[in-house]
Amino acid sequence: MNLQSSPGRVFASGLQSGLPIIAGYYPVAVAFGIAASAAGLSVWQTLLVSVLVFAGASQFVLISFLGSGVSLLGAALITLGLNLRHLLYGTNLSPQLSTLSTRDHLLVAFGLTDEVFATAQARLQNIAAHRRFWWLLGLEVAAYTSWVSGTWLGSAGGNWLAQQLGLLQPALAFALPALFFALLLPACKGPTLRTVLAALLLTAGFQYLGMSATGIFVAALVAPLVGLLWH
Amino acid sequence: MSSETVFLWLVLVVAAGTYLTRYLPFYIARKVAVSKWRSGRFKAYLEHVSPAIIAALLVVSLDSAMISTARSLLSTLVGLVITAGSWWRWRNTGLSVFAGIVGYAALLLVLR
Repeated sequence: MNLQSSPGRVFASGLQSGLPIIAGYYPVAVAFGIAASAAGLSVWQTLLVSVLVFAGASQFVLISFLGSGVSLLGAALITLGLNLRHLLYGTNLSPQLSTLSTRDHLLVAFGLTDEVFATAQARLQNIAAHRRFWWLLGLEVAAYTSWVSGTWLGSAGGNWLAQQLGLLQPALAFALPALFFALLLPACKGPTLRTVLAALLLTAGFQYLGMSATGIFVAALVAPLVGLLWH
Repeated sequence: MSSETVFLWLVLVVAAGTYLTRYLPFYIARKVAVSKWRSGRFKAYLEHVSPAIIAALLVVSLDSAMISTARSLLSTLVGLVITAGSWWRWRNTGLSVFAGIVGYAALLLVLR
């Protein structure tokens, strides 16, 4: 993206970069809408969750809270524990977004999901510093729109939609692994390859123990040390 | 409190908690000079954090349904190989993801 590109063009480029995320989000968002309906939420309640929270894992956990008698404090602590990895996303992107104003930071922080972070981390360095806000906003709008509209489809269409999707649903579910894999490939060389291998092994171990969220956090903290120290 | 009010509070608490984990690092970074983030070993460490997180997300995103049977495991492996091949050929993330999805779906159909 060159220095002469207008904010509109950079925003459109961000939207375009969000296409793989859209493909990956739709089946998950539809599944969330269906699960929320099954848990007894109305369409507007389900939409409210996706509009305000915009975090797949947290939303599914929230559904599981319904009727379980969990306290508000308990809900807050569980959600914070689940989202601790997000602290690393902002930490990692901060140097690349240091020219943004407080207002811009407040805005883009809302849409910093796993997939948005992964895409932004790989692409931001190719975008002029004074245009990064618009590109990131375009990327986040693409992700957010697909998440909210997919939630509505799942909630309003229910199980009928899941049956109609047929093979398309598992095929689209492959979009997220394919996206993460494609974003990972440029890093598969030199010392970062060792970091990647360590992260894959650590996360797989934690996932086997049923602790995926913890695994992401531990891999993010420990695997870089392996990559840097293991010569 | 009615169950609807409790639900609304739950949503607000979860939304606020999620947002805070995303915004706080930016807030803290504004208080710390950027030069400190870019210097020495911490910079080298941060450069390795991103690939580590993306690798971890890759593992977590591989749903158990994608690796639970020989058919789904083979489809997943072929999908990833096609994604990698496409990326090395065109260096285009969107195109690589699309090619990977098509390969994965095609193999699921063929092996059905």
